[in-house]
Amino acid sequence: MSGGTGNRRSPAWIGLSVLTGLVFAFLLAPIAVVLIEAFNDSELMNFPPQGLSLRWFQAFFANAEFMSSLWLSLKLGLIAAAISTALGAMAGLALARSGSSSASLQTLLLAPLYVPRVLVGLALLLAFAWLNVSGSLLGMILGHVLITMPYATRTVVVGMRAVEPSVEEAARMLGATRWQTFRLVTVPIIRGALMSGFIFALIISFSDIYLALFISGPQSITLPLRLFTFMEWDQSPLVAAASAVQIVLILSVILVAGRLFGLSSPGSVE
Amino acid sequence: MSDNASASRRTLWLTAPSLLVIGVALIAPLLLMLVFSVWRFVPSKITDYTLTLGNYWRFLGDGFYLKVIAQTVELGLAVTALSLILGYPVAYFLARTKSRWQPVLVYLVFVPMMISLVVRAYGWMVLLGYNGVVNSVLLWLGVITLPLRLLNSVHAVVLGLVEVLLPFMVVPLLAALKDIPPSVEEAARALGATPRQVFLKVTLPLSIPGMISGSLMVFSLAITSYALPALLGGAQVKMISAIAYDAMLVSYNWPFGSAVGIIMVVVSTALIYGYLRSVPQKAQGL
Repeated sequence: MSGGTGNRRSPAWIGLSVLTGLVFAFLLAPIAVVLIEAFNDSELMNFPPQGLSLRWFQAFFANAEFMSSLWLSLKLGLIAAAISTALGAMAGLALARSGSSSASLQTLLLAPLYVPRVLVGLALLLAFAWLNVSGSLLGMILGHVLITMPYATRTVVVGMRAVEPSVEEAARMLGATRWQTFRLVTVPIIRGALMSGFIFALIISFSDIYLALFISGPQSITLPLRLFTFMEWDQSPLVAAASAVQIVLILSVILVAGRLFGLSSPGSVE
Repeated sequence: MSDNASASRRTLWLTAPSLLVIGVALIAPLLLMLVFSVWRFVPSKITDYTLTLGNYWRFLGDGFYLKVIAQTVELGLAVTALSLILGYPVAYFLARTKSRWQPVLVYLVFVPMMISLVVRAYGWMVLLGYNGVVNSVLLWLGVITLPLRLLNSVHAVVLGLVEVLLPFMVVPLLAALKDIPPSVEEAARALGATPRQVFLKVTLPLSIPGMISGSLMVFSLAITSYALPALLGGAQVKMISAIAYDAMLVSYNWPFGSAVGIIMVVVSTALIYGYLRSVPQKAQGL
């Protein structure tokens, strides 16, 4: 069978394949060059690297500021993802079982995805400053829960499509309580969706720069923000090493979680 | 009847915590922003609570700010057009290929989205820097004799934003193209249309909803971007978000920053409303 451009071997299809390859190269180039640059032995950023070394990784792991930011980002991500997954899963369950009348409820629950991140940051900055609680870690957690929750909600709504209501009904008829049905029937089926929601929430939180720019304080400088401020005056391969560590962390989380639970599509806004 | 009532009570309880977070951390702060935007700014004490529309007039009536608005819109249009041009072939390929690698390729479109913007901005610095990849290649090829200054320019920001926002174009396009039943294209071919005619007269028109929703989303995200323009544009690029950021965090003019924020809320809400109305079902919520 042939597609719209006719034969698989037709010049048009070959041209399309080449073009697609080039666009993929464009998409992945910034990530690829960072991974290479991180091994550069030189003092300054240059490409191709002048000799290879691990000195910038050593410098990164020996840098107290980067390390405290790395731990903060991981901690913040885990806390926010745990809360988001719990809240998002509850909302997702409600949406999945409330039928077609819930379109506006769904839009409201997914609203944090659609409001540009810069506006979320601005509004929270104003609110925290007005309440005189600027720069608190608690505020950051609240902000991160807000922006990561919809990912968990969405993956659970999608995951619940695999749960036949008749299976739950059968459990209920056989005498299981509502909670037993949920724990022993529903949860095992949507376990993958719950894990996907958690992983995406963690990744979104870990890589966020907008909330960090607007609402973090001196005690809550996340890794992306530390890099952002550092990069404005120093673009040495130290930044590349710090970036490479983040890329490797995130890619390994995706790969491992994908292997274990089969991650659903991470399609997202921002 | 009572079943229905208990079901809706359950929905309420299950969604209450999420709705509380959205109310406290999104809706209330945006309402506060709306209130601040109509208060008069007084240096040193921020506001004296006098009502005014002056913050809005200042932004929409001043030559400097109008230039910023124009540059932001222009940049947004350039990013949207380029994303459409680069995204369409990719979406078309992914929708029609029979390769067993197709799911992997679709996944690969999403992977960059999970890497921090800051990291990818640095990637663009390595690519476009004075001693970066592009300059090294051009020097080696003998096209130039001195490195070009590519960073801190509108072009760098446009390239960076296209890279970051391309997935938002590909997703609805892919959904729209997959929604076209193969039989429609086959019928056109059976009736004697050339592959070119099939594409121009059947496939392309049927994918317009995907093009519209992808463009609305990309445009909305491009004109509200802050971090990437700040890192790649330097002093050359001043966007609306930067005006709001400076007003809030540099000059402490919260009323003016709020007014700029509210204008951005109104514009992006209109764009996202259009997006949600036009997005193909399969990409809904993506």
